[in-house]
Amino acid sequence: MLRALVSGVTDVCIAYLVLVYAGYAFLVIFAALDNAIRNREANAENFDALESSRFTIPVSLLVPMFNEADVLGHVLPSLRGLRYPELEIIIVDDGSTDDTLARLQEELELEPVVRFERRVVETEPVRGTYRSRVDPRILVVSKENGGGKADANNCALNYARYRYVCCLDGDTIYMPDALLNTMRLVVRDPKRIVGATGHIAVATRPEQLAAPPPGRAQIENGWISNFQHMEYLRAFLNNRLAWSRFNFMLCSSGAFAIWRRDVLEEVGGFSRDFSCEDIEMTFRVHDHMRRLGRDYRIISLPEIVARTEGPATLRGLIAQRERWQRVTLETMGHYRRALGRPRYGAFGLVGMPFFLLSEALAPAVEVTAFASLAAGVALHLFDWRLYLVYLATMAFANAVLTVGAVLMEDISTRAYRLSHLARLIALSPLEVVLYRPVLVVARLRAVRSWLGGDRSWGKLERNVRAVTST
Amino acid sequence: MSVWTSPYVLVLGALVLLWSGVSAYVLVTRALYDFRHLSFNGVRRVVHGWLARAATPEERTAILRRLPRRTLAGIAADSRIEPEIASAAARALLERRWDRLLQRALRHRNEAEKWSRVGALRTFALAGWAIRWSLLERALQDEDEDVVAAAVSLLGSLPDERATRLLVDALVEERYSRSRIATQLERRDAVAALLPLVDDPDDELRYWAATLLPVAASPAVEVAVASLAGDRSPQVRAAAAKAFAAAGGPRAAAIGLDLIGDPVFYVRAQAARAIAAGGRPELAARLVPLMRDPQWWVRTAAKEALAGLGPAVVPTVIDVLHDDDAFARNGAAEVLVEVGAVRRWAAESVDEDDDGAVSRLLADALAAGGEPVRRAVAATVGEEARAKIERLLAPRPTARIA
Repeated sequence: MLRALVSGVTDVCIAYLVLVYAGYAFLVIFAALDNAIRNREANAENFDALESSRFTIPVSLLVPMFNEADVLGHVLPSLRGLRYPELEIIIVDDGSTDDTLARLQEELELEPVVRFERRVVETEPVRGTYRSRVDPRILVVSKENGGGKADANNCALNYARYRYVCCLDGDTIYMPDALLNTMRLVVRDPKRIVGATGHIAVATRPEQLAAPPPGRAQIENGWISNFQHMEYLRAFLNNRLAWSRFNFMLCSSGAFAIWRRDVLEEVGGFSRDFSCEDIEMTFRVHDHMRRLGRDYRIISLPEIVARTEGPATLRGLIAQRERWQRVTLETMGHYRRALGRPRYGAFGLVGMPFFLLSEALAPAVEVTAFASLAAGVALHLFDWRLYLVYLATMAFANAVLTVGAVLMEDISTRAYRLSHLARLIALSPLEVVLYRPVLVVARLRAVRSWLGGDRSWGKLERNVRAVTST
Repeated sequence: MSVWTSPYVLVLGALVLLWSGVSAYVLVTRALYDFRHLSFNGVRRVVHGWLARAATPEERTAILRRLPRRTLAGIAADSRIEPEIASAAARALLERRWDRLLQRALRHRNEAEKWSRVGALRTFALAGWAIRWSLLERALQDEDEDVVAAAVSLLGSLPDERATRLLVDALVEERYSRSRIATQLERRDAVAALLPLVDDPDDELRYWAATLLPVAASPAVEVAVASLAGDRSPQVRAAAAKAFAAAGGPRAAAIGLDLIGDPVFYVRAQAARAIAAGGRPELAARLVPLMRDPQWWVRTAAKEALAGLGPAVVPTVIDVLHDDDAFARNGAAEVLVEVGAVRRWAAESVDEDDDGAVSRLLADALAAGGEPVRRAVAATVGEEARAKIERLLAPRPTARIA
C-alpha cells in the first residue's frame, strides 16, 4: 500500500515537472522570436526623432518612497536623467520615518506649493506638496503613512496629468533610455496598449552596475547575486516576452510598469487589500478588459530598463521571496474565477493555469517530489542512483532555460564580459541544488503566512555598503 | 531495470548535450563578436583617417571602393558615422551589388528577409539613387508594419519635397500610426502638402492639419488654422486652440475667447491656455467662470492660465475668494499663492492689526484655500508672519447673546 502510494505520488510529481518544463521550453521559443524582432525593431527606430517629438506621448512618473534616504543620491539623478521629451515626476514620501523628505528638500531645493489634487482614488491624508527649484518637472507629495505602496501610488495618480503613468520604485536605478525604449511601442498603438513593462536587472549594489559600457562588468561576484541574476533573466526574457507575445502578461513589475491612466482609474486605482500591488493590478486589468470584451495589450520588452537592489543574504532572500509567493497566492485566490474560463481568453485559458502550476503549486509539488523520491529510495522502490539522475535532469532542464536567457540577453546587449558569461553558464546547473531549496523554504513560509491571513509587506533591508570617506 | 538503461538517463543525456551545445554557442558567438567588433573598429578608425584626409568626393569614393563589402555595409549602417561618409559607403556598396540589393529592397518572404529588406532600403535611401523613391513608396504600401515603419523613418531622414509628399500621403492613407508619421513631418517644412487637409472631410485629417501646420509660418496658414477653431469636431477645435496657445500673440487670445464657452471640456481647457498665451491680463475676468467648471482639467487650465498672466490678475482673482463655488474659491487662493500675493500679504500684515485691509485679504485667502494654502505659505514666511497666520485662522470667540 505504502509502496503503491509513494510510487503513485512520484509519478504525479514527475509528470508535473515534465509538464512545467515543457511549458517553459515552449515559452522560450516564442520569447527568442520576440526578442529577435524587438531588437531589430529597435535598430530601425529613429530614437532622436522620438526624443524630440511633441507627439511622443507624455508620461507621469509615479515614485513612491518610504525610508529611501540612503539611496536618494543614486535614484534621483537616474530619474532626472531619463531621456524623454515630456514627463512629470511625482514623488510621494509615504510618511517616511527616516530623513527622506529632508534629503529630498536638500537635493531638489523644494518649496511648498498649493496643488489641489484630482481625487480619483481615496488615499491617506496629504501633509503637503512641494515643487523643485532645480527641476520644474518634479512634484513632491508628503502623505501620512498607511496603505503601503498601493496607497502611495494612488496618491501620485491623483496628481498625475498625463495619459500614461509609469509606476516606479523609489530605490531602483533607471536606465536613461528606459522610457523611450518602452514608449516607442506604445506610441505605435496607444488605443490598444494599456500596459507596458521592461526588463529589470538585479544586483546587490545596483548603483555600481548602472549603465555599463559594452563589455564591462554586468554581474557581481557573490553566488546569491548570480543566482538572482539568472532567475531575473529567465523571468523577464524567457517568460514575460512570451507572455507578452500571447497577450497574457501575468505581472507588470512594480519597479517599472507603464499603464494608461484611464484604465487605472476605471479599475479604481491600486488595491490596498493585497500584500503587493503589481501582480494584482496586472490581473485586475486583464479581468476588467476581458469582461468588457475590449481589445487591449499589455507588453513587455527585452531592454533593461532598471537595476534594482536584491538581497545579499539568505535571510533577506527568504524574506523577500516569502512576500512574493504570498502575493501570488493572494492574487491567484482572488481571481480564481478566471481560471480556465474561455471568456478570459489566453489569460484565463493559458496564463492562469500556467501560473497556478508553475508558481502557486510549485512549493507543494517540489517538497512532495523530494520527499517521495527519498521515500522511494528508502523503500527500495528504485535505486538511489536514479534519485540522482532525477535531480540532475531537473538541474540541466533548468540550466538549459538559463543559458537560453543568457544567450538572448547577450545577443541584445553584448554587455557581458566573456568570463562572466562562462561564470553564469557554469553556475546554471547548480541552481537547483544550491539555490532552489532556499526558495522552497521561502515559498513554504509564504503558504503558512497566507493561510494565517498575513498581509504585511515589510521592506527590503538595505545591503551593507562600504563607507566612503568624504 | 538497470539505472543506466533507464529512459531518464537518456533524457538527462539529451539535456546535458543541449546545455553544452547552447553554452558553446553562447561563448563562441560572443568571442567571434568581440573579434569582429575589434577588427571592425580598427578598420573603421583607419578608413576614417583616410577619408578625413581625402580632399575631394572622388578621392573619398575611390578609397571606399577598395574596401571589402562587409566593411562598407558596416559603415553604411553605423549611425555614428558622418552622413556624407555613410552615403558614400552606401553608393560604393550599390555600385558593387545593386542588383542583389534591389531584389532585397523590393520584397520579403519571411522575418529574416524583412530585416534585410529594411537594410537594403536604408542603403538606397543613403546612396541617393533616384530609384529610392519608388522603393520607399512601395515599402509604404507593404502589409508589414515594420517595413512601413522603416520607410517612414527613412523618408523622415531625407530632406526632400518628394519625401514630404510621400509622408503626407502615408498620413492621409493611414499607412502607419499617424502620430509616428507626424513625428517625421513636424521636423520639416510641409505647409504646402498639409494645407489642403484643412478642408478634408475626415475629422482626423483636419485634426492633424491643425496640429502640424505652423501658425506663424504665414498669414494664410494662420487664417486656415483659425478657421478650424469653428470646426464641427471638438478634437479639431481643441487642436486649433492648442496651436494658437503654442504660437501666442493677439490671435491666440481671440481664438481662446471664441472657444471659452465650448460644450466640450477639453476645448475649454485649451481655450484657457490660448487666452493665457495672448498675454493680456485684462482678460483675466473672462477666465474666472472656468474656475467653476465641473471638470478638474478645465479648472486647472484656468488656474494655470491666470497664474501665467502674472500679478496683474490679483484684483480680479481677489473677488473670487468669496465665490459661491468652493472650487473657484480654493482655485483663487491657489492662483494668489502662485503669483506671490499671499506671501506678500503675510509679510505686510505683520505690522497691521487683524482687522486691517491686508490682514483681511490674507484671512480671506487662507479661508478660501484651507489647509494646503496655510501650509504652503507658513513654510515660506518668517516667524512673525507665521504667528499672524495662526492667529487669523484661530476660531474667534463668538459674541455672547444677552
